[in-house]
Amino acid sequence: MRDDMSDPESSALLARYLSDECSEEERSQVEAWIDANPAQAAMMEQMTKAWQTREPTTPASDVEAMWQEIGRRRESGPDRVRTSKPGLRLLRYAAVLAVGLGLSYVLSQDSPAAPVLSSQEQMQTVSVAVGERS
Amino acid sequence: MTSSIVDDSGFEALFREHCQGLVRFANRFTRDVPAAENVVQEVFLKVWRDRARLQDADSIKAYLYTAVRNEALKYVRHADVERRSVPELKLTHAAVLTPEEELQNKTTAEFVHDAIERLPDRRRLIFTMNRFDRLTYVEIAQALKISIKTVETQMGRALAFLRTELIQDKITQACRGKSGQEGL
Repeated sequence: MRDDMSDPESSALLARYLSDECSEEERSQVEAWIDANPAQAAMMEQMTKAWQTREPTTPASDVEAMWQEIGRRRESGPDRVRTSKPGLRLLRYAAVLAVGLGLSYVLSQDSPAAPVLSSQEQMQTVSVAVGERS
Repeated sequence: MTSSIVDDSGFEALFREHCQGLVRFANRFTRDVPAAENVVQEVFLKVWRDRARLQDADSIKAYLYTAVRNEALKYVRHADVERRSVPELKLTHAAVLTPEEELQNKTTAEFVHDAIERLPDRRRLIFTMNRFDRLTYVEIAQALKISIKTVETQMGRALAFLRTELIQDKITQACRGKSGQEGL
């Protein structure tokens, strides 16, 4: 391996070594290179430190509160869960269909296009003796 | 991810596993923790809505980082319309110091943070996703929709840059008789 900073292949390999992204073979190759020269070893020690540097800290979030809010928003609005059992879902479709049919019936009753009932079909009051049917 | 995200427990596990990391990631764009938290919540609501489709995704982690980045950038664009140029990603400076003080007080970590800030946007994004968010090269490639080769190249260039910068710093420190202070 060349130790040339402008050699992109070497830099990429060293970066992969530090990020634990290289093969066993490449690992041994880099380690041999490190052992061969104290200056290279010192440089890699520095780079290891740089690689392990942590991000400037941000305050910890209240994960629980965030989760609760997601729970609330998940159950309301257009994101409603659709994980009901197939039987229940069928029942839901049936209910929608029933309401739809009922509604269309009611509307057809009010609609002027609906046929006018004939006099015979109009409601009549029939008086019958007790126990008799009309 | 072992459990399916389609059920409640799988979704909750996914959220709890990635929430804090994603807030930190989002905060690098928004530079505002509550806004970053909002971004992450929005993304998880989206995940919940699309969970049937997402359960077959190659890497849900990569998906999360892509989605958070997009959502965070949307927030930044919306929040800073009047500000002309918004750096895509920036690490926070602890305090404002004179150059003299800065050099004297600089720790290795601060030095590295400063160097990272000077990386070009894309390289900095890739480097921080690997080093701070602990994403593998494959996950970064998936999240940013780029090749693994590109990730390798960018990481190599970041290393070359840090190397040069650290050597420069060592020379400067030596000139000021402060060499060896931080072992750099």
